[in-house]
Amino acid sequence: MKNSLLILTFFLAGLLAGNASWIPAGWAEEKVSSYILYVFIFLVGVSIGADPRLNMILRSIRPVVFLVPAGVAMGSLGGTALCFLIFRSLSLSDSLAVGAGFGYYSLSSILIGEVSGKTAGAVALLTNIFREITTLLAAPLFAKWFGNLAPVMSGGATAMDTTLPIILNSSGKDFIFIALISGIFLSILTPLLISLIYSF
Amino acid sequence: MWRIPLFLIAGIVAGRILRDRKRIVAGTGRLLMISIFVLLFILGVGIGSNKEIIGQIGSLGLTAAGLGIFAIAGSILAGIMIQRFFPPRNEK
Repeated sequence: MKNSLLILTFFLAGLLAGNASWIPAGWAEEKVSSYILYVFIFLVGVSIGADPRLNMILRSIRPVVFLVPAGVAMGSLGGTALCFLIFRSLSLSDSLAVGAGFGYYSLSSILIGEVSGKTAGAVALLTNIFREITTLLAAPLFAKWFGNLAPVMSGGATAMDTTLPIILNSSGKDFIFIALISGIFLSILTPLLISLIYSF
Repeated sequence: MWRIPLFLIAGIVAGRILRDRKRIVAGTGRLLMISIFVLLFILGVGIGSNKEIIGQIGSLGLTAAGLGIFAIAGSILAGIMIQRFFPPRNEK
């Protein structure tokens, strides 16, 4: 989730190249990228496994600790399910999978784009960037209106890195522990939940 | 589909084993960034070359904003309930 701007630059470059047909049509439809996808998922795992903060989670496994990420997961899936029932603009599984991104837009858009389709991948990218930016901008208001836990809930998986500073700023230093645990746990949950949702 | 959890868990285990090898960890971190760049570039090409998606990009943006608002609202609602039913005690 670091280097957000650089990540978006590559996406936009691809968008332009595809739209201007600099790259032959059908190139991106090939299965080539699914091998890179598995390497990518493996590397995501390595980065989580090698993260020194993972020790903190493993040392402090108490049921209460999982309350916050579980709340984010249920709230996000419940919210996107409700959005599906009202607007029906995407299928239920696409809506749920987009919600299961928890703000982790690079991973969720790549995975959903590969497994479900480019349209759902595009929505996953936009929704989860929207979630990160909203948290960055509105965390102080969320904390004031809905309590100090709200910025951690809104930040989702990004609470462990990109939105951590604004969470500490608006909720207080006491929330560093819960923000890190929730963010790391949700980062692991994102690929698991997305593959679970599409296996039905 | 089962491959994704499998590769993720294999990666986490490998990361745990390699975590003290700083240079290997830094190398895999760089590789991860590169694979994100490549995969998002490919996703971009797939979306950009698809006139149907580009044609409805406005409504896709609205759909995305709707899903984002509902996901955030649901999460914050869950947070309000957690604060009500599990008030912070000796959290540190």
